[in-house]
Amino acid sequence: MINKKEAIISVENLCLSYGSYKVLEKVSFEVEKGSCMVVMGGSGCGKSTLLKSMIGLLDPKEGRISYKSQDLLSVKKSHRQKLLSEFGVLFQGGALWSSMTVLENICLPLECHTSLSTAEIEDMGRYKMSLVGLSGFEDFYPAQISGGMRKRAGIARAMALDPEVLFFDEPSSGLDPVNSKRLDDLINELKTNLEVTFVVVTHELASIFEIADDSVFLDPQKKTLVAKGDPKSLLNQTENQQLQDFLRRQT
Amino acid sequence: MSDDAKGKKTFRQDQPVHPSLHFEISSSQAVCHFTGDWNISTGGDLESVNQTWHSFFDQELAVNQIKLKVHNQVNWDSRLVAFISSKKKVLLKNGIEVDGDFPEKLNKLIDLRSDHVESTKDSSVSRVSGSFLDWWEPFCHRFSSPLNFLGAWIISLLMLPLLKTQMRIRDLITECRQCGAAALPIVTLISFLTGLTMAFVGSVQLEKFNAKIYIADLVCLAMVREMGALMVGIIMAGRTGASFAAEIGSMKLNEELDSLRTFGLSPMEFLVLPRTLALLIMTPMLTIYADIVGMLGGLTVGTQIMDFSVSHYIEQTQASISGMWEVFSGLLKSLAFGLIIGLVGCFKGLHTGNSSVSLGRSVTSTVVTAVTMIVVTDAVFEIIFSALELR
Ligand SMILES: Nc1ncnc2c1ncn2[C@@H]1O[C@H](COP(=O)(O)OP(=O)(O)OP(=O)(O)O)[C@@H](O)[C@H]1O
Ligand SMILES: [Mg+2]
Repeated sequence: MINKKEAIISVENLCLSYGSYKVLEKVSFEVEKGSCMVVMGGSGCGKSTLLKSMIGLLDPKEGRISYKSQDLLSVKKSHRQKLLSEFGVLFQGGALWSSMTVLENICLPLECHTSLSTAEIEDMGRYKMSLVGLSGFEDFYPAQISGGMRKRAGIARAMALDPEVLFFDEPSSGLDPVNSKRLDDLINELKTNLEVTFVVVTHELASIFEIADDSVFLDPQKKTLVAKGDPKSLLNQTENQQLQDFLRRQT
Repeated sequence: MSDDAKGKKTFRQDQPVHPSLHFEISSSQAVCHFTGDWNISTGGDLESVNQTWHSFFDQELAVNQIKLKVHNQVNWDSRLVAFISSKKKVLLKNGIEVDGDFPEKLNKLIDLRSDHVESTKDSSVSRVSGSFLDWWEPFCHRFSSPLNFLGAWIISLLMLPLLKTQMRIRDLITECRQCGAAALPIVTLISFLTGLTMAFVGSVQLEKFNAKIYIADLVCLAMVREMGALMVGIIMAGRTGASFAAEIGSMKLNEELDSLRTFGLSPMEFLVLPRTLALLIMTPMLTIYADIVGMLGGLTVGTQIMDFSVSHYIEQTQASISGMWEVFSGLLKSLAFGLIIGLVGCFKGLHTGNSSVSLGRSVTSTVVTAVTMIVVTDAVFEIIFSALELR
């Protein structure tokens, strides 16, 4: 493969389905290390499903997903678990553990996977919360904070273990423009300074152009990937009407 | 005057008119006039309207252009919008040109409807032909998934002594408090009343044989061997089993289980193990407690109604227990009941579907399954005990 940079994740010929209901077919793309890949597409086209299969929660019908050139689906289970632990994930609904406070949510992964002292773990948790602007809400339960705050807490938890790859499912939905911009800046900072790789599902055009180095566009009718590339260059590629509508916010 | 009353004034006072339409035809151009009140609140069905509509198009096959006219005095809301837009879609599909003469606002609303994304659910689904697989796979799944669950549970239990577990002691303690200490009031009430009731019922029979003091034996043996464990089991099934299923099930709905997995935390070790262990520890303890409280219930009847002295009753109770085996047999049962309740609750929780309906179903089925299994297991224990001549 001729690539400027090494591909950290590569997806080949992926077919996904729920029972007998096909969601996506023959999806192939690569994510470069230290880049931000944006997954775009209309509502219900299978973006969350694609993300779930990439983090090993949904076994695909066909196809290969490899991470650091190791096939995630065929490696031994314990090794697979080890590879997957280098991922951080934000679910579309936040998926915070509702029986724990926000701070405990963020500290739990640290408690289970590191041997740091409790005090240090708490410090780390507080630091991650401040990164997403949630300082002062450490002792609130997920049910006591707003939807946008839950999203941000989910982002902080995804970053808890300093993962190499971060998967965000619609991180900026429910966020006000200021926090949304702060999140974009955070993504860009982490990307350039720590070489974190991002796979982000988002509908927000402003943030797509801000953060994306590469993108894939999924089509619910054809049930596959119809375009890929830097969204700025996709703007000039006029054959695909749906993509143009999406990127220019037309109907 | 309040705003409410002012608003009402603007509404028409006269009776609403049932929606209707009629056609006018000239050469190949037809006009459809909408009259009446096309409001959701007008009510009634559109059967006659639909009939007029269809019979017109059945008769006038030559029509290839139609004008839909809504007069300004017609009252309408989204009922009319929905009617017109669905009819328009069919007409266009059949190659009939549709021209609208609508009030400006209505026109805009009709244009808003977009049907460009049609569900493709059926057309592209590839189904395995033949219904055998449709039936066979869920059938196998019904049996294999509880076994898989049990196997995984046993493995994670065996890992426990090796200290290779993700279970947190903190969770175990919280669960123990939740299903043990927090259940004390209800266990007290139920087992006290059970002992009391048995004493009342028994006393009537024993009086006939002039053997009233054996009431102490009756209550003690029944509680220790049977009722203590059974009552605690049923209380725990309704209280703790249901809450396990609801807790884990709603975590599944919320994708919380998925997020546990992404952090490499197994729901089995992290959620199921502390809950089942807590029940295994607490059910026998609660059973001992229920035995004692039940005997106190018997004692109350014995001393207050039947006029035995407290010491006489207690001596008789002590004499009735021939050995510790009587107590242990009850505890053995309660251990089995605790295991059943914990496993059933957690299994049903983990296997909840993706809707709140199925969550409710899981909780109900946890209680039903657990209570049934408890009663059956109880009977099996008694049969085994008597076959081995342990009773
Ligand atoms: N658990 C499920 N069981 C069955 N079908 C599902 C399930 N989850 C999603 N689907 C189907 O899969 C398709 C894709 O869903 P998905 O959630 O991946 O969409 P999405 O692109 O993330 O949409 P959105 O932008 O609204 O989040 C949908 O058509 C949906 O009907
Ligand atoms: Mg989604």
